[in-house]
Amino acid sequence: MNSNNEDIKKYSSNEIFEYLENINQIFLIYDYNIIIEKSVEILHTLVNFNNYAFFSMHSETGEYFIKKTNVKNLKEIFFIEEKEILEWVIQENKIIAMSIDENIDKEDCLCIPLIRGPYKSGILQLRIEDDWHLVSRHTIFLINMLINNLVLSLENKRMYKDMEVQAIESEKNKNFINNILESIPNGIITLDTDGIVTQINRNACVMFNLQDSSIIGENYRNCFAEKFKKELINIIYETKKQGFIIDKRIEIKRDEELIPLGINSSLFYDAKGNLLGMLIVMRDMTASKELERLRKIDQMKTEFVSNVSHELRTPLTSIKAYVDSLLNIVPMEDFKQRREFLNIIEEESDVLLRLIEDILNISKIESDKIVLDLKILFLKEIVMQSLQSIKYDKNVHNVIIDISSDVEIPADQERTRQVFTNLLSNAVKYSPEGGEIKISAKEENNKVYIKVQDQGLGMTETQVEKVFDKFYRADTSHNINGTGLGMALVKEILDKHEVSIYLESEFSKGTVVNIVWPQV
Amino acid sequence: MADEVKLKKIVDQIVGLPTLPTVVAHITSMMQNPKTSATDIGTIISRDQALSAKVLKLVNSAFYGFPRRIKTISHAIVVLGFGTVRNVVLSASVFDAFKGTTDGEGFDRKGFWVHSLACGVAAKIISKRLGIKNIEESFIAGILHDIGKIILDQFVKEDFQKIIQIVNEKKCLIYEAEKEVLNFTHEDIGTWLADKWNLPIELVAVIANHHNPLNVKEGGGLAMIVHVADILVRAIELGNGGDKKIPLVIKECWDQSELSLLTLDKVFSEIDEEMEKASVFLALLN
Repeated sequence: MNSNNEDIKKYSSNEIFEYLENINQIFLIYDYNIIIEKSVEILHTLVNFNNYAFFSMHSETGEYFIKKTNVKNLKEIFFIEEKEILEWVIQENKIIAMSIDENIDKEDCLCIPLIRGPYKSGILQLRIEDDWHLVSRHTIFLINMLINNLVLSLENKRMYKDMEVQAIESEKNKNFINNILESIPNGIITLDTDGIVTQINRNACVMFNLQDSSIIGENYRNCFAEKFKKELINIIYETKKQGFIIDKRIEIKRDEELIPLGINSSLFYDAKGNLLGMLIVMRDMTASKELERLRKIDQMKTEFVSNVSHELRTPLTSIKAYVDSLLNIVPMEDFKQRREFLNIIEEESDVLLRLIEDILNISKIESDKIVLDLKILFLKEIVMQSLQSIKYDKNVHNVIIDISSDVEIPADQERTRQVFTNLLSNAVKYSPEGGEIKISAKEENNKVYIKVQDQGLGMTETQVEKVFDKFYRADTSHNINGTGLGMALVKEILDKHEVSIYLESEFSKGTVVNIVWPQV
Repeated sequence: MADEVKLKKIVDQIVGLPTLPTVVAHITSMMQNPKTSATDIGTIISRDQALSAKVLKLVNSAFYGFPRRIKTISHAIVVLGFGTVRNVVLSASVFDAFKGTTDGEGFDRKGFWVHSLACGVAAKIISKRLGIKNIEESFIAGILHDIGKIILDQFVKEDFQKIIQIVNEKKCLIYEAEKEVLNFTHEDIGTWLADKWNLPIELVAVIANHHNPLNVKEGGGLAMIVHVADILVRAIELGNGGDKKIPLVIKECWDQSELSLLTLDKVFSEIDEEMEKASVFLALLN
């Protein structure tokens, strides 16, 4: 045998060209099995073999298992169990021929490792007919080219599969994160550094009356109503300046209703620390506001209980003291003294009675048990009755009634009398000595405009805002008695009549109570 | 730049230069021919029975690690590949050529061969890590890179002893002392020998430029790897290259080797492990 041996296969340039075209086709195949089949088919043009087996390595156990073959009984004709031979082939990463049976001097099994970098696709074994010792380097070179293409194709296939898995994984992740986003009971908006909306959850859509999240991809300036847009410009400015915002309160309008929002925001970055954008979290504070209101009421009730206890105890203590005197000290004969004491007891009892009535009324109205008995009444008459029921010193306060006798209003007599009693008694209570109290009314467009003016302490703006709150007392420093229920009761009763009331007041100058009473 | 005149004068004095068996040159030329088969090369090598025995001894050693016994040269080619067998033949021949030469005064021959072998092993490991296919070529390049020193020690002994003396006194690199005494270096004389032996051009480039691989105009990768390998084995004091000082590693070469100071320990222990397996080569010197 020598290098000019005629047995050695020679390739013409045409053959090589055709061969290259053939092996390039492997890249176009996407099916794992067909890649192997096509490669085996091309191998047939270079090497004389009948059987082949493709072994894959299990990525976890490192064991080899058969992936594709054209024979049934593998053990006799291929290396399967001599693991160290297979490992050597993988480690050396080159094509080798060996005899299955060590005692026979014929290399009849060709082992081709399919490796590229760290990726070990497996080993292709061919049961060859020819003497491998006679195969030229040229042929081995061509086989290597084929194998390179085969390995690359397998790797492409594997990477493609990995990518699919990753795509599914990332889709899952995305869904998971989306679920979280949608389930958070807050509105969430993210903006990129150019102010483009990159995310908006359902809650945020509801807050801004948006049908869906289709504003994603648009600049925030084009997406929101003017009011919120202005707020948003501020939020973005502040967030950029200090990196975050904590619990900023704003209001937005939705369906003609003002909704209080609590805003938190922060900037977010990628792993390398580059600014990606801004996260804005919005909390609907309506529920919180309601809670706050209830808490306030609760606090007021506590105050009220202590107020009421005080108010109830004062007349009771007084009554008890006078009864005590009458029983034990004042002589039976002293009728003058007795009469005086009994009068005081009556007065104090009246105070007690009124207090208890107030409490009962407010709870009645609150629980909607009150039913109005509407009749057409003369306003002046009601006001006069009310004035009579309050005790005031004509020498101290000057009360002027400027109402023409024919002014009529549709009203529940008893309740309306209560309204004016409360208003007048307030006016008297809070007016200084010599102060003038004026009640006037005029008719216009089927409405009666009633004014109750005093020259009393007056109130600040905040006090006016709270004046109709139950148990609220504008001033507790002047030793003026009260339950804090009077004005609340007035408001409740007038609301039932669908009559509006508003106050104008100037601190230390006096207050004007305005009532607009529709006549129809 | 080497002093050509001085170099010529010295090489003219060299009589009885060890020759490589003709089979090495023969194989090298046969490898150019793509039609060559394992049997063709096997037949050529088998003609030199002493060489065949050494080659079989080497290919069956733990260094090549084939799990079965390799019985013939052509079987070795089939199993290990053409390139590996050629390099085994080459290294067996080189070791054989300088076999039995006694230690020169001042120059530790044994230490020299350990250093050369270690450099080959390190170059092979670096190449393998880089995913270079022909790691056997890196191995032989590492073994041969300092071959010029042996020539100097053997044929211009007086000058070489002077060089070793300067190295010991000045604690300088052998390379620098060679320049001082001879005005050329072991790189130059090694290149001359490699030419004479008809070694493949890639190996000649390594022998000529392993101290400054950036001088190689094309395909300097192998010289860069050997440059780094040389410094690594000096760092862990495997063998003796004639000087104790470690030359600075050229940054481009280090970058090219993709080694990291953090994982260098692993590379060092790999070198130690492989050196044990490669001791079979040193046995050829006895």
